[in-house]
Amino acid sequence: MVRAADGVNLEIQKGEVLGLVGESGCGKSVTALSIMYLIPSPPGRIASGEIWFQGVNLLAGIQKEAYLRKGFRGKAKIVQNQGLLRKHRARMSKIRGREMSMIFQEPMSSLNPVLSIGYQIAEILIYQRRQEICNRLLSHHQLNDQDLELFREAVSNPDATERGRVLADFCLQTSLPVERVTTIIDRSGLSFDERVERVRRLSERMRLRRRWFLELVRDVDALESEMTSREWRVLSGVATPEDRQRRLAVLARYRSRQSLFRFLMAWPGIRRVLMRPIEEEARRRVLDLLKTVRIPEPHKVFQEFPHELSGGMQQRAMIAMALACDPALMIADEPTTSLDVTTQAQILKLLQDLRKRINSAILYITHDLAVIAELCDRVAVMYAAQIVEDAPVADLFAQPLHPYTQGLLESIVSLDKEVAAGAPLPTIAGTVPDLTNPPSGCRFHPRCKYAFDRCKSEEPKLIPQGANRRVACFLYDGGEAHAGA
Amino acid sequence: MGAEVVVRRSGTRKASGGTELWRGLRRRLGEYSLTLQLLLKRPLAAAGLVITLVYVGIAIAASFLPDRDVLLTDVSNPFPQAPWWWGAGKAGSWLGTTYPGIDLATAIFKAIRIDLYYSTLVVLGGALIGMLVGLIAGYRGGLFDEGLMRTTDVAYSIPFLVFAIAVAYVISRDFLTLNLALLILWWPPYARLVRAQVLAVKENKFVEAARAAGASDLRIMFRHVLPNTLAPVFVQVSLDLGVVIQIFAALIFIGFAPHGGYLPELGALIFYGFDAGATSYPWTILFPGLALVVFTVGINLLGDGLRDVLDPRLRR
Repeated sequence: MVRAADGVNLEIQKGEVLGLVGESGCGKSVTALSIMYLIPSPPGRIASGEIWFQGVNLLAGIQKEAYLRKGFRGKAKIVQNQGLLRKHRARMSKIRGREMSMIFQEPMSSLNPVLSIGYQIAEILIYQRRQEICNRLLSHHQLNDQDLELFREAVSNPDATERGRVLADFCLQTSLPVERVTTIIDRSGLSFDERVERVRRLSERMRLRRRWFLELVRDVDALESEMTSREWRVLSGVATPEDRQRRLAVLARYRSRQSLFRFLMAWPGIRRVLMRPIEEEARRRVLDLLKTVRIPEPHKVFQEFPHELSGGMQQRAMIAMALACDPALMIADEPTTSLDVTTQAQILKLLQDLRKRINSAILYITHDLAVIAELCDRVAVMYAAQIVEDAPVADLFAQPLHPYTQGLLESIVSLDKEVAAGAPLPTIAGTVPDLTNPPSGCRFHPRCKYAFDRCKSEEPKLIPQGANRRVACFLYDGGEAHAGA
Repeated sequence: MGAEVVVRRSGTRKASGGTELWRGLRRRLGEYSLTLQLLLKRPLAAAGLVITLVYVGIAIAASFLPDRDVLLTDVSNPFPQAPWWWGAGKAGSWLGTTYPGIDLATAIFKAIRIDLYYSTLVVLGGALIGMLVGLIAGYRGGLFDEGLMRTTDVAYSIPFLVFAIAVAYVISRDFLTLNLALLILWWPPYARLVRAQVLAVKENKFVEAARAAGASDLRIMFRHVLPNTLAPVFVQVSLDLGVVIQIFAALIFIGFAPHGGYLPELGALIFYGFDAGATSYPWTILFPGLALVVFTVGINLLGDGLRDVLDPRLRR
């Protein structure tokens, strides 16, 4: 068994960018995937721990998901409670894409080759942010004097082609079906006022029908997310018995609505017609998002497939996807690693600008300390599945405490640094240990130049140093003087 | 070449309006036209495409014929007569007649319609079932996979010709029964094909990305994984159409035809010629047989061409 992330303790505030650094194989990505509950399972499993997200413990539901059982020939076997896990996965998929999102390392392989960029982003909006879209649509057009003026023009204009054009304008403005309006106009023996009255009634009917549908969709959406968060609150032990009762009431209401909703969904014609405004609103928002991530010609890119874009554009599209749901937490797993240097700089610039505009927390995973210095507020350094140091960026670069951090900083190639000609670049000797059999005591001690006896036998805890930094090293235990730095 | 395609696409885009669906369709058509262009660059594949289209055209045209499922026989003159260009043939008859006085040209037209219809039924039905089974088995894995794939193995191990004969004996000798019997055994290759594809596709990063974006398993299966597995299925479908037509004709030839009347079916037509004495009247088996062979060759050429053209390395 490999503990790929072991005793990781992180905290991200709203609007903060936390950098997570370390060599390859330190468990950075595994940490990110654990937060999203995306660990491939089997073989992966979250054995224990807590993830508190917006006041709720995301792992609350699955604490007893696995138990040991004597299997074939008395061999011990880990058995998972599949029903519990399925429920948990369903809850998590409501959180993912609504509250959390992720940017992956290779944009080319993270985008589906057979779906257009626009579709892939719109899908998230339609299925995860439907509530918001419905809200926007509900404040929809109501017939006013200006429209009636246009309608008068459409009725009274003697020129047929001109009349058609005005009529099209009118229908576009009021989102009424052209055929229905044409029938009203073409019907003989009606006075103008009667026609206006009919159009008004038509518009009102359409509005009501749409409102009815949209409210239904929105409410189901809202209830669903309310239900999951409530469930989690109960599971985390935050909730009271009254809360549990209310939860049952919500559940019952939701069920009754859902059956109605299902019935409606079974009526595909109506559904298609009524979903169209949602789809079109989603399309408008996707175009906005593409503009936000500075993709030139968003209309063109909307219809393009991933292979028609360059790597940088693909990564921008990925970022747009991550932004689509306006997440509270965005995890970026080495988003610039597979890009060339100039594109990397552009993407970093984009992320820097974005973090001012959006108020989501960002967990930025990288092994490039230069990027950390550019972008992050705080840094956590990971080594062999554990956090070894956690500090504000400026402090870390000014005075790295942990010997591993010092080693990382020393091995950066820099123009400012004087290196004697012919001297090899400084590196940290050795490699990351095999996590199936981690070294005893401090995991860094085989590679550490300050290691002493205690390091070999005892495992260091994260020790607070000053106001807001922590380090896991015995050099700083008991207020000893800083070594090294 | 790629650039040319892109330019033409952006030309059509300006005119485009309407809904999401329509826009999507336009894009799809763009992809298809790329496939078509690549296909037409290969002479053999182009020939296959033309042959297939001609047959489909004939099948569609034949459904507008009067008495489309019935063969008109000329009882007053039942013995086979050669076409007019054969020498001493029947005037006005292009492919001659077969016993008992059936005009071969019309008969082959009608036969192509029926054969194509039923083989498409078998192949598409089999492909749909197989795709569903393969998708679920490959995506869910574990016990689902084991169960479904072992079922597939069992279905694969039954010889379909014998099975179809047995079913036709027990239930009834009509086209639909024969076809359902074939259909029941026709999905295993598709299940294996799709499962293999799904196993490869589901490891892709974009599946994880979709999951990170909160997509449910069903959505991932049908929207993200399935479209990525379709190319080999298309190839297999086009190759199988020829095979199923042959099997169908063979079954009818050895006598698993519905009772009563003369059938507009290629295997049946060959059998009538064979019965009347093929050595004396060679055209009676030559033309139906040729119709069968040309279709099989054509659709195989098309399938081979598609296999090359749908190769992503060639497209991207």
